[in-house]
Amino acid sequence: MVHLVTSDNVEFVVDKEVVERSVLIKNMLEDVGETDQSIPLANVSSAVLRKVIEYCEHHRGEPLPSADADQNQDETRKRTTDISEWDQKFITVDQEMLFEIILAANYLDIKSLLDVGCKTVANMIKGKTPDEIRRLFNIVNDFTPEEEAQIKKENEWAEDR
Amino acid sequence: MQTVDNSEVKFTSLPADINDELRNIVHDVRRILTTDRSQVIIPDLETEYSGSTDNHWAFEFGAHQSIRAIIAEREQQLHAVSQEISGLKTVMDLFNNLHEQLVEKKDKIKQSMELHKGFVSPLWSLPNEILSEIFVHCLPDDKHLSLAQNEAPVLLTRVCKKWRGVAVGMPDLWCRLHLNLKDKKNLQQQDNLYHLCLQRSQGRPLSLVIDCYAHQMLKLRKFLRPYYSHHIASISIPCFRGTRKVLGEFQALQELTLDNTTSRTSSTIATCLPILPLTVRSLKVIGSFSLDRNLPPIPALTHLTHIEVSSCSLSVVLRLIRPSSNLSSLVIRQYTSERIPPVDSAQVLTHTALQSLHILETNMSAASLLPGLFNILSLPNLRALEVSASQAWPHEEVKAFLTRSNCPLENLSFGAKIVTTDEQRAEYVALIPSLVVSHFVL
Repeated sequence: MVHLVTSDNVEFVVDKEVVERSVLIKNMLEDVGETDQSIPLANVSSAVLRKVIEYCEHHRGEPLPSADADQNQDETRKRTTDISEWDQKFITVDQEMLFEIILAANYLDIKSLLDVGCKTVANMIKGKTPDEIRRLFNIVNDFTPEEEAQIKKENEWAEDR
Repeated sequence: MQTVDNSEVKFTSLPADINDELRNIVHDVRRILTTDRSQVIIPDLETEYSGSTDNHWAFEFGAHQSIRAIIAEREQQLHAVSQEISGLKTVMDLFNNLHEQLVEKKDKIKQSMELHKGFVSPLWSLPNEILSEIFVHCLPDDKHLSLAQNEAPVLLTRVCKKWRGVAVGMPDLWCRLHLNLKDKKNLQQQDNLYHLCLQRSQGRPLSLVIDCYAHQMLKLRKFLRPYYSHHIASISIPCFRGTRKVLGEFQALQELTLDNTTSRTSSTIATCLPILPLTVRSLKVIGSFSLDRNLPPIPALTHLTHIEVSSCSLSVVLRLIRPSSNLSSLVIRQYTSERIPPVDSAQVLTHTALQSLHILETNMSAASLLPGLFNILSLPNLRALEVSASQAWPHEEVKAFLTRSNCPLENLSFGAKIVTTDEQRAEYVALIPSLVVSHFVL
């Protein structure tokens, strides 16, 4: 079992097989060897780690993508925005949690979870206008009127669909 | 600023920063409207003449004078009410002006609030590398883009400065492009699109799908010329008589797809092959084509590692793969029927580099050429064989082929329509014990 301590000082005791879906933790464990000491995760809160562990538990035993395989499948991986039914349900959270999970997956180096998060955000963006995207993510239109005009001119050739 | 509840008028407090003049006016209006004086009193306009239906009064002197006095009084009343309306109009204009100012103030407050909300948007906290990852997933599913305003990557450059910076700085978003020169009105747009992609792909290998007519080959040549040397690594191009002139100039091309579906003759491909750039490693031909029996030596064929052909005869396939000594992967789709000479050991083609063979026969009306193919080939390094066909499975020929090839075949996959027995599959495994036999669905 592995002891993890979150940024808000909550300790989680997790099965090694589950937690090793994180390449960061796997490498740490390989470096340090068997230890009872807790691993501090300063960038992950307990609420987020709980979700991450839920994901790792569900995908326990599935083959981890090797660096080579990942490179080979890169094109396919990036091109498809399909998400499995379970993953879709899992990632149906509020925006703040969604981005926190993405950040945690990036920090902990859990490629498949990072993919699920990024694909979810991509699916939220697809089919929307710039205004709709700004409203959805609370993004400020910080283009000056001159920049707006330039972008409009620059994209005159692009199809209006 | 005000709410009306039945006839009663109520005010909320006034903003502190409106000017004094307006403040006084608003104050007066408030006072007027909150007293009985807010009601307009209609004067009694009835006279002794009001109800009369004839004008016999007009002939009486006394009545005449009295009516004139009434008219004079009405004139005074009309003047007074006109002044009141005018005064009210002035107040209303002032109010409208005040309203406009307050609306503007509200918009600015809202804008400032949104600006600050944006700074704490969770999306803002994502590092650019993750944003880039999200952007790649935003690309449309078509491999090659006909850039559109409301689709990635153009869409991503229109949201905010940060997104624009990230999207414009990602060469991979701008490397695959579909150019359609068929619409003459759009030529300038296509030109702009092409140049924008070239600029933003920052010298990365470019992949193009070209749609054009036969007479546009010269234009296409001029269009592509400045970038032949380094940028274009993959191209799909219609095969016309003029195509060979375009092909001859590529210097970094690695993947070539020749689309022969619109060509009037099936021999146009033969004119293109001799000038294939030596850099090409993958050749795909769409549409039926033929190759002359006396095909001259084609140096580029020896460099090919992947060939994909469709609707060509078996003899054409053999003419193509014989000189392609480095070919490791071959895909044949729906080839046409052709008489194959009986198997003759002298004619068996041994290809030592080929590791993967995919044969996808569909809608065959003629007899399958699979038996002929397996009779004529020997592939001693074959590792993957995938076959889909609607005809009977040539078990004996496949067995003979595997024996002859003596290859380290790892996977033998059948299309769903191929029927094999347990005994037949067991015989293949007996020949190659490590072989995995499976079915696939197209």
